[in-house]
Amino acid sequence: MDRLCVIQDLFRQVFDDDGLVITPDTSRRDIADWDSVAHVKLVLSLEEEFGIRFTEDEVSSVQTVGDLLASIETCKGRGA
Amino acid sequence: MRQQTVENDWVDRLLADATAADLLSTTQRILRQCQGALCVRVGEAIARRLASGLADAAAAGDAIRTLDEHNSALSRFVRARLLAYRGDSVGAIDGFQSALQAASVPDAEVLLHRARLLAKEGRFSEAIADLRTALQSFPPYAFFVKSEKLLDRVAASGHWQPRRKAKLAILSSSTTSLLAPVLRAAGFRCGLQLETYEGVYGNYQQEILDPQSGLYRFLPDVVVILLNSRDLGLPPTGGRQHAQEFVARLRNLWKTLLDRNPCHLVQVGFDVPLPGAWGSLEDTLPEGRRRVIALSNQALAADLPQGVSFVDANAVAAEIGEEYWSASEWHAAKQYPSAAALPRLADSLCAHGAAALGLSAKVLAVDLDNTLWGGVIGEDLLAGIRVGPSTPEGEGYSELQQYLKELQQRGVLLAVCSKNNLADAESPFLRHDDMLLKRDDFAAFVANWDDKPANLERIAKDLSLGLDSFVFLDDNPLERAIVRSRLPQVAVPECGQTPWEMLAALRRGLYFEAVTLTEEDRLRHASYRGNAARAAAEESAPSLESFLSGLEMAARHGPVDAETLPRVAQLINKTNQFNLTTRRYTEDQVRAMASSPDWWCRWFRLADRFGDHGLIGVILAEESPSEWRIDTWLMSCRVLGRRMEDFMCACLMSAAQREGATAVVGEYIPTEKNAVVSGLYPQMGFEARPENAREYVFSLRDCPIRGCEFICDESMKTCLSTEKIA
Repeated sequence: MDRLCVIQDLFRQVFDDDGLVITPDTSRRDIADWDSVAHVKLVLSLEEEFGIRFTEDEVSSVQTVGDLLASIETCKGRGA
Repeated sequence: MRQQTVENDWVDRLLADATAADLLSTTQRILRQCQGALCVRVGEAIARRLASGLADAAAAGDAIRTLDEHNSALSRFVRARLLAYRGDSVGAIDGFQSALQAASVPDAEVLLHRARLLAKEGRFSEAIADLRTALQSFPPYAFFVKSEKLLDRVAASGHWQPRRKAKLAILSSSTTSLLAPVLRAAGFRCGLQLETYEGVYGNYQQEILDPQSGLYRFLPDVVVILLNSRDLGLPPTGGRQHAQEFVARLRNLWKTLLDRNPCHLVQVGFDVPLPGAWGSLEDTLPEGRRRVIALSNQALAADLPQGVSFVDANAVAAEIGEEYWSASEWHAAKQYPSAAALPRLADSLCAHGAAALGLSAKVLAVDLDNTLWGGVIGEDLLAGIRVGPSTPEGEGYSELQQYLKELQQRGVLLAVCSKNNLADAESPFLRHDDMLLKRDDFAAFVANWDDKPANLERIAKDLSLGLDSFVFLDDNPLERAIVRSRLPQVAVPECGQTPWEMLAALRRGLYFEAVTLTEEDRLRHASYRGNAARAAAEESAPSLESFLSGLEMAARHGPVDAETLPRVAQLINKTNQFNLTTRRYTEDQVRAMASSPDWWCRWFRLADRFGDHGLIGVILAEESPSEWRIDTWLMSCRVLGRRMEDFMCACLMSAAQREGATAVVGEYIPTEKNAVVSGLYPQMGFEARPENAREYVFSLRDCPIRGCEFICDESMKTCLSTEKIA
């Protein structure tokens, strides 16, 4: 599935970096601008993009792109 | 949004199941299913799948050909996205353009994609235009997240000429980090370059009380105080006294802030939340919670001190609906209001800031056919156009006309800009019984077959107003696009096709937001209409002198006092053309000068037989025993060409002479807009100072004071008659 591509497109826009390439292993430490404020913005955007709602735990436990993908999967699974 | 997600899932499944062999046929199937309509999410999904699924250049070529065959807004968008993925920025930029043309209504996401590529190619001016257009369609919060860094980057590129730069500080009891960038974007839309300062989280009181705080070091032009009803900490009933004390403390904070840092303050009122456990008792008990919150808002908004304006959070919430408040965002991030409500709130805050800085729009130029009435007057004729209560559509147009009429009564100038024969265009105003707007309600009326940008320029010239104070309303997306591209300084809202959508777009744009209402605002229309009549008189009058004396002009003037202060400050902050030094002062600064014995601060009013222009001129001069120095001299452009400047100059000279001064010194600081007064001082008999090219001096000993023979001094008359009576 192209979810990683969707996230990469979003990251490129939010961080204003056309050449940004992410993998599931990319972590918050790898992207300097991925601070707590940016994290909230990313989460809000992903919720709209995929029509989902993350739980509090899902939001705060995310450390990597892989975590994001897993959380999106869980949300889709519970249909919310 | 739900529906779109379902649609997206269907597209996602098809694309995921497609093999390399049937990817193109799947693409065709989706394009057919969507009937070519520009759904950006679907387009993004197809483009992503194509970009990752195309093995080589030949496959990409096949894909492009398939998309070209379909040739819809959606296929063009997919094609452009595909080119962008493949690194062909220039091709993608053109591709997005053709997608936008096919879609007819500009899509914010498409514009954002194109702006990003334009910025990458160094074409910043075009990127700026695209971003402004995108913001005119009032996109949702997600757009602001995606565009934030790009916006900040292009705004700082040096290619953006904002109408004004200003410093805006946000003080709040909740998180402000999401609001600040949305505020900068709101400023970008209305030509205001905002530098933002966020007070320490929750420390709004400390920021104001501590003279050493970051707030004061920042020297803000505008300060926003954003609180919410949770700050009041009210019980279900019985919290009235507590709330009263809270409001009193808050009003004291305003005073402290304005004393220390004169600026404009925007107070956001308390949101009235959904009823709590006590239900409707919270509305009906004398001290019920919701009732006390409403009373607190009234206490905040009543008798606002000068320099403070009030934004009702509940008006914003009413437009956003239940999404205004998000429990999860509040508990997770102390985010208030919800992210979804931020664009609308930011527009209100920015509109107040702009109004305080004198940047509110002044003119609403409207199309006629299918904008003020349903149908085309030239074809449907008087009996065929829809306006008035006989059809739902007509009722909608009446409501829109009523809104325009009320704008006009508040001082907004209305102008017609229509492609029509003049006689056709005027006939409904003169002969249709259901027209609420009359021909006389318009300060300018242009109906011909020239293009609209040229006509708007003509209207601006006739009214002596800059195009950056214009809003243009037209049901035709093509006309909107032409005006946007040729006159980027004009605000052109995306306004839909129905009268109620147009009304909603006008309301949503907050273009004409005002923080005060002066007498001049109410008189403005009559005054500008008088101008049109005067222009006609000018054509028939044999000479300028006889024209001027035929105007029967009468001026009054007096020292700046509490009553005239708001209008004087308004003029100081928005007059650009006839303004010798363009120094901007806040109301507090002007008040300080007016009460000082070392300053001569004078207002001037002018009336003529066509109407009263109200307070139209200001001189602030600093006195010293020997010479007077003109710090500020300005005049509203509606009275240009009346010799009012001669009159003002003579008043100043006489006053200086009475006080024993021997000379008056004037200064001209050139700006982009004040060339009209570049030769004013020599014209008034001042001599250039050899040691300073900007300064001019008038010796009261050597030169006689010239008056103005065309303007009668009403203030003197009043004085004389009083003396006679005495």
